[in-house]
Amino acid sequence: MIITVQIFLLMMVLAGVGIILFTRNIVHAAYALCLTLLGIAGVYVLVMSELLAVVQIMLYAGGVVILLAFGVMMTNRLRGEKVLSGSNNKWIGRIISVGVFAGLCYLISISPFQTTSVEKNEDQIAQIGVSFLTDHIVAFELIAFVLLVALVGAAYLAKNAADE
Amino acid sequence: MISFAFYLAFLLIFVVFAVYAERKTAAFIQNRLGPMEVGPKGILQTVADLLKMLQKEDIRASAVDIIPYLLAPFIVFAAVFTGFAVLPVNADLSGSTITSGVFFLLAIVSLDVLGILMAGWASNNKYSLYGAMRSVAQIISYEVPLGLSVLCVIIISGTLDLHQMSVLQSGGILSWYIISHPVLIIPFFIFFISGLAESNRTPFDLPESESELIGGYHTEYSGFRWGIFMLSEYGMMLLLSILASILFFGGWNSPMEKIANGPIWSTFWLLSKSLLLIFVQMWVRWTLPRLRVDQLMSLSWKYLTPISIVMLFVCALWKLWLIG
Amino acid sequence: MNLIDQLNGILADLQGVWAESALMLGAIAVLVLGLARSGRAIKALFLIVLIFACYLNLTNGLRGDILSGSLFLSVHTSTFGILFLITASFLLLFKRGDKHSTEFYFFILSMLTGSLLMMKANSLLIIYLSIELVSFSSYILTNFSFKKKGFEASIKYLLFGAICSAIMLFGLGIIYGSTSTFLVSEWNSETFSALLPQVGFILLLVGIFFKISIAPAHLWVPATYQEAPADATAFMSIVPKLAALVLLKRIFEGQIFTSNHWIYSLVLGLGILTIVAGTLGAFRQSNARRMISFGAIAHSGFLLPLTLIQSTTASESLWYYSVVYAIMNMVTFYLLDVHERNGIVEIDDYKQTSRSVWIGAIFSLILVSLVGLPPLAGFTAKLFLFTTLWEGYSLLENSQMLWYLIVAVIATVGSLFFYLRIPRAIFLSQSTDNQSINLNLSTKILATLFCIVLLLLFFAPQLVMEAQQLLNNVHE
Repeated sequence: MIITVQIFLLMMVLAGVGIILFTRNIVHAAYALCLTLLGIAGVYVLVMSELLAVVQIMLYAGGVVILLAFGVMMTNRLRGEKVLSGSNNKWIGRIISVGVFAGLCYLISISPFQTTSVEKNEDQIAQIGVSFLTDHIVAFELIAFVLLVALVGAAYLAKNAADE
Repeated sequence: MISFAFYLAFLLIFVVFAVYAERKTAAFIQNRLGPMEVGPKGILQTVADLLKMLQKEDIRASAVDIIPYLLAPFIVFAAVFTGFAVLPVNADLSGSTITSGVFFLLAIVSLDVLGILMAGWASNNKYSLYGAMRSVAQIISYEVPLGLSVLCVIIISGTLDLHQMSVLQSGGILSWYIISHPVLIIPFFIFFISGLAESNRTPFDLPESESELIGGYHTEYSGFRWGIFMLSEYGMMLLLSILASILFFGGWNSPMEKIANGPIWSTFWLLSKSLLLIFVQMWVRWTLPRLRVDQLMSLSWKYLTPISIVMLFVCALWKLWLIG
Repeated sequence: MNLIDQLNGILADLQGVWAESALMLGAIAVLVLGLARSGRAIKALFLIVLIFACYLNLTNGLRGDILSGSLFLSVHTSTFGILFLITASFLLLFKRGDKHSTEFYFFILSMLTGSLLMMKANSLLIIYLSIELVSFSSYILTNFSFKKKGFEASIKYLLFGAICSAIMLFGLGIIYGSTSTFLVSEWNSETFSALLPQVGFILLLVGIFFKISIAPAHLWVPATYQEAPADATAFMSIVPKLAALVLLKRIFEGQIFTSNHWIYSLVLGLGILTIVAGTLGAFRQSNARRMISFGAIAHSGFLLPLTLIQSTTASESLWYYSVVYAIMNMVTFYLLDVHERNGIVEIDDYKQTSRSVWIGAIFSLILVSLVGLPPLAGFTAKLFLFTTLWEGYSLLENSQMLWYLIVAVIATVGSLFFYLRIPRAIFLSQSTDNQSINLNLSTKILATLFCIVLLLLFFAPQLVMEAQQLLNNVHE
C-alpha cells in the first residue's frame, strides 16, 4: 500500500517538474508547480509531518501558486497576448543546471544527514505552537513584522503607481 | 471511508432537491408558484432538468486551452469534495481522524480557486476570465475572515478535530458553543457571511453575475461539465453549512440531552441543522441584491477582517477567563 | 524544562531585545501618526523613537546567548547598535518633502530593526528573516522616487535579492540537515568537515555577501544607489552592510575554519575581486553617485578581511573603519544630494560650481578621506586595515593576506584617480557658464562640522576606541 502511494507521489512530483521544465506557457507551469507542491505535501504526510503537509497545501498550493497564476493572468492575457516565456543562453544554462543538480545529488548521496525517527504524535500541533511562543519567539514575532513591512510596501507602491 | 461514501451519496441527492428547494424558495419570496408541472407540485422538475443536461452536447470552443479546460470542473469538485473527508456523520462515524482536521479542510477547499482560475483562463473568453478573476480575488479575500472566525472556535475548543469538537459540545442545547460561549455569536456571523462569499452565493455572486458576465467562469461550459460546476457550488454550500453546525451548533448532538441520541438521530440532527442553514442561504439569496466589486472588497478587508481579529483577541481573553 | 520556567527565562531575556521592540513599535506608531500629521511631527517622532531605542540599547547589560539561543549579544552588537541608531538620526539632516515622509521613516525604522537583529542573529532562522526584512525595506525605498528609472532599479534589486535569498535558504536547509541545529553558537571546527555542509555554508555566504555587496553579488549596487533617494542610499550603504559584516565576524569567531581552509581562501579571493571590481568600475562612471557607489563596493572589499582575522587589532580596526566609513558616506551622500537639488548630477556638471569655493573644498576633503589620504580619518582607517592584514599575514602565515594587502594598497592609490575627478571638475576646469549654486548656511556649517570630525579622528583615533569602551560600559 505505502509503496503505491510513494510511486504515485513520485510520479506527481516528477510530472509537475517535467511540465515546468519543458513548457513555455507560464500558466501551465504554474499549474504544474501546484501539482509538484501537492506531491511534496503527500511526502510530508508519509514522514508523519501532517501539519507541515497541510501548511504546504494552504500556503504554497492554495496561496503562492494561485497568486502567481493570478498575477500572470492580470498582466498579459487581458491584452489578448499569449504568455510565453523566452529563453537565452540555453546551452550554458542547461550545462550549469545539470552540473549543479548532479553535484548536489552526489553530495547528498554521500553525506550522512542527521536523521531522527519521528513517530506519529497526537500533540504535534500543540508542541509546534508552544515552541513558536517559547524557543522561537523572536523568529515568530519577526515574521509578523516582516509581513507587515511587505504588506505596507506593496500597498504603498500600488497606491502610488495608481496615482501616477 | 464510510462517512466519505455517505457524503458522496448524500451530496448527489441533496443537489437534486436543493435546486428544487431553491426554486420554490425563490417563487415563494417573489409571490409566485415556481415549478408545478413535472410530478406532484413540480417535485420532479430538477430530475427532468438533470436528464436534459446530461444529454447535451459537450461543446468545446476551438480556441480553448484544451487540457486545463477539460480538467477544470473536476479539480473544482475534487477540491470541494475532499473537504468532506474530515467531517463526522454521527457519534460513531467520525471522518478521517487526522489531527489537523478543520485546518486541512480549509486548506484543501481553498484549492478550488485553482480550478476556477483554470476554467476562466482556458475558456479563452474575456467574460470567463473576468469571472475567474473576480472569483479568485473574492475567495482569497474572504478566506481570511473565514479562517479567523474558525480560529475563534478552535481557541475555545482547544482541538482541530471536528469529531472531538462535536463530542465537547454534547449535553443538550445549552452546551452548544454558540449558547455556552456567547462570544462566538459574532464569529458565527462572520463565518456565515464569508461562507456565502466562498461558495459564490448571492449577494456575493459577482463571479457569475449574469447581467454583466453572461455566466462567469463557466460561460463556455455545457452539459455534464457545467453540471459538475453546479454540483461543486452546492457541495460548497453543504460543506460550509455542515461545518458551521459542527463549529457553532453542536454538530450531531441532539438539542435535548437525553432524548433522541442514537446514530440515526444524531445523523438527522447534523443534517437538519445544516439544511436549515442552507435554507437561510437561499433566503438571503432571494432577499439581498448583489454587491459591487469595491463594496465586496471593502466588506472583507475593512469590516470582516478587523472585526474577526478583534474577536480572536476577545475569544482568547474569554478562554483565559474561563480557565483561570 | 516546564513551561513556566521557559516563560520566566524569556521574560528575563527580553531586556536584550527592548531596543528592537521599541523600533518596531515606533515604526507602527509612525504609520499611525502619518494618518493625522505629516512632516515635522513624523520627524520628531522618528527622533524620539531613535533616542529611546538608543537609551534601551545602552542600558542593556545582557551578553551572550539569549532567548533560547536565538540572539547573541556582545560588545560589537551593543556598540554597532548605537552607531546604527546615530546614523539613522543623521537622516533628519537631509531635505525631505512631506509627501512620502511617513512611509519613508517607517521603512527606515524597519530596516534598522532588521539590521540590529541581523548582527545579533545566532539562529539560522533569524539570519534569514532579518536579511529579508532589510531587503524588503530596501526594495521599496529604492522606488521611493516613483519614477520609471527608480522602478527599474528596484525591480533589478528585487530579482537579484530574491535569487540570493533563495540560494541562501537552500544553504540554510543543507546546513540544518547536516548539523540538525539552527544555532550558530553550536558550530565548531568539526561542523563543516564534510563537503555538503561546506557547500551549504557557501550558499549561506551568498545571502550575506549580497547584503555586504561582495563581488559577484555587487551588481545591484550602482543602479540602486543611483536611483534611490539620497538619504535612503546613505542609510542603505552604511547600516545593512555593517550589520552583515558584524554577523559575518560573529560566524567566523567560532573558529569553524582554519586559515588555510579553502572556504577561507575563497572568501579572501572574493574580497580581492570586490576591491578590483569596485575600483575598476568607478573609473568608467560619468555619474557622480554611480562613481561613489562603486567606491562603496571597494570599501566593502576593504572591510571584509577584518571579519576573518580573529584578533583585537582586527576588532578595533573594524570598529574604527566602520565609524569613519559611516561618517564619510553620510556626508558624501548629503553633499551629493545638495548638489543634485541644484541640477548637478554628472561629474562634468561640477565644473559649473567653481564659484562655491567653500563647499567645494569641504567636498574635496571628504573625498580625500574616502581615498584614504592624510590628514583625514580615512587614512587612519586604511592604516589600521593594512596593519591588520600584515599582522594576519605574519601570524597566520597566509600568503593570501599579503596579496590582499598589496591589492588593497594599489586600489587605494588607484581610487585617488577617480575620487579626485570631482575636485578636479570643481577647481581645475575652465567652464564658461559658471553659476553659484544655491546653498544655505546650515549646509555649509554641517559639512564643515563633519569635516572637522574627520580631522579630529585622524589626530586622535583613540577617541573612537574609548567611545566603544564607554558605550559598552554605560549599563554598569
